[in-house]
Amino acid sequence: MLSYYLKLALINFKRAPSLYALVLLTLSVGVGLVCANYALISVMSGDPIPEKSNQLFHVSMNTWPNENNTHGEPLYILRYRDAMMIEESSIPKHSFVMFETSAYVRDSASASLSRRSGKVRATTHGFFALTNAPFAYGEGFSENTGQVVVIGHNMNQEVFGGGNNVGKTLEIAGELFTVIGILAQWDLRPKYYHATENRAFDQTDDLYIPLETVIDQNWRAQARTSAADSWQHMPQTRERNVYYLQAWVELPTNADKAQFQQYLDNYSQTLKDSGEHPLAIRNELNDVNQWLAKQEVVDDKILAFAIATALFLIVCVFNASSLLLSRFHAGKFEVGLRRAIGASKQQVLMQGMIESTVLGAVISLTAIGLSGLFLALSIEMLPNLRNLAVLNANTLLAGVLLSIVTANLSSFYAIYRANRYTISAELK
Amino acid sequence: MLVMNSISRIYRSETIQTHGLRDFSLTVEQGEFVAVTGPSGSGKSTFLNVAGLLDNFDQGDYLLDGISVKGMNDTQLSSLRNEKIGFIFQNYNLIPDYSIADNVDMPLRYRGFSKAERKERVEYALEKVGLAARLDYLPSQLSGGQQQRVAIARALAGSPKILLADEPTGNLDSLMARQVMELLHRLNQDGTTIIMVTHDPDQAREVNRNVQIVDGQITDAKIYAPVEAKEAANA
Repeated sequence: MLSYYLKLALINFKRAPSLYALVLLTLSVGVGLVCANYALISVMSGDPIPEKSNQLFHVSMNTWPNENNTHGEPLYILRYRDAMMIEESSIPKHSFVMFETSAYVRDSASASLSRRSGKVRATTHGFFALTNAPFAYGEGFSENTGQVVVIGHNMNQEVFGGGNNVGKTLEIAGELFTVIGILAQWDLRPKYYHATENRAFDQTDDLYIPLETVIDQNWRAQARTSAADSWQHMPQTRERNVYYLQAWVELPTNADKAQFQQYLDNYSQTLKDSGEHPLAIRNELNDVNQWLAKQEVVDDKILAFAIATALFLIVCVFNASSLLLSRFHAGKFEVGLRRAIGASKQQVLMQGMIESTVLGAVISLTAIGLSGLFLALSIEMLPNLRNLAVLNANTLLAGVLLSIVTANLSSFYAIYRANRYTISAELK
Repeated sequence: MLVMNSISRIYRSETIQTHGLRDFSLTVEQGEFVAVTGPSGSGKSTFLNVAGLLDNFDQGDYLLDGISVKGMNDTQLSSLRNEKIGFIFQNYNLIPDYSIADNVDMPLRYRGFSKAERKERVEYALEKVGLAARLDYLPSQLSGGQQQRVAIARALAGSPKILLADEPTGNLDSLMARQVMELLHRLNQDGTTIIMVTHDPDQAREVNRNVQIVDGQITDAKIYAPVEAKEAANA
């Protein structure tokens, strides 16, 4: 019967092409808007590292050296010696501390002297194992010093034109660095390891360079920095109360987490005992999703827009329902005839649902096309959405399902009414 | 074939009750051709709707081909309608944008026949009504009489036990009406049971049994004497 119902659906579409085109357009706009919004929300609220997001913890500490702490407690940025205390611990499976900076880059072997700006992640070596950074070629660095660099996919494309360029030399801010690793395309949304300062949806970095090297080169942190002491050069920050490093640790079990929490608290107590810590001991470990929630990476305005688009979709469903009701009303003679010659209510219902599902499948194509258009318009108006406005597989699947569901919802009342007609009333 | 015993069908509104059928009893044997007559509003259509399982009844018993239909759900009634009953309507009720073959094929679809069997049945039914050469025609390409013959083919295709015809010649001129009546007689002679509602006394006289319904009850089972009896009386 399925093929018969499909044939009947096509015949019905041919009978009233304008009406079905209107239904298609109405629902496509509604579903398209919802899908575009869903695309933004799903990227914003997605788990960027589901395989171990509950094992990775951002470290915040309350080690401000005097009582005049106007930065809120605890701070998500750490000073160098606190960060090194974390690095030295053997409790985490992996850990890293890092900050963001930038530098101009060129291929040292190139005849051209033109350079391009690159975003630099100054980090300790644990970064790659903790984040499961995907390597296309080579590997990460194993020390926190040295003139070595891991480059991102885009940087590899732009500077070298792609391919395996491990072993080649880059000139970065006037210094020569050997490429020891090249990452594959890495779309990390949200970029949880640097979700502060509204950077959760920045692209992944261009260059990954050992932390100590970057500090020695005096490349300044281009993210939040707070200082209780004055300083001029980055190497001075190793000894002074300058807060700019963020730390992440991988703690596979609850026991590890409890042990590491104790380790942090003991450290703070030591500071307190030596008179360096006037504030209450308060160290926090937030896993990836807790940390992203705390950073409010899902924009409230997007959530409000989601409600508005959902309401709009409901209006579209009512409009489509009204159009389809008129269509079924016009065709009630045929329903009566089919019932008279032996179609049960169930079969009439099934025929209507198959027709709606076919309609929904067609709607899904136009709706997804419109979502892409809406997202492109969003990027045009709000360039910050560029890295967010992505129609991923989940969104496409949701679009198809939503189209089919809304098409069935729209026709449900019409099919219900068609089944309520007295058979004999339609036939003479 | 059809046994109705003390059937009542009451239509209720907020203020009044109308008896469509009142204590209505009728038995039709296999192979009979019964004409049902009566004034407008007498209950002929209600009888045909109840007999055709298109409408419910409130009291009484109804056995169709030995099966009691009382208490059946919609799926059971639909299945019974499909297998046992063929409908012929005054307005033919063909779907205008379906070919003749597709119109005849409609009831067979709900029976679950294979494609080959449906094709065979459609061709046989159209052969029987003399339209086998017009399988791919649209209804609009046929005369009224031919359209009614297509409707008869549709009713016959599923090999029903009984044909229910509601003024089958009401929209036809006399020549075409004659052709349709001859076809119905032929089918009856082949063993098909037919119940036909008609306003035409001449058509009622042609058949071997007729009943008159007034106010939802049978008032006269011999109102129109069969043609043979009339001719005998005149002689």
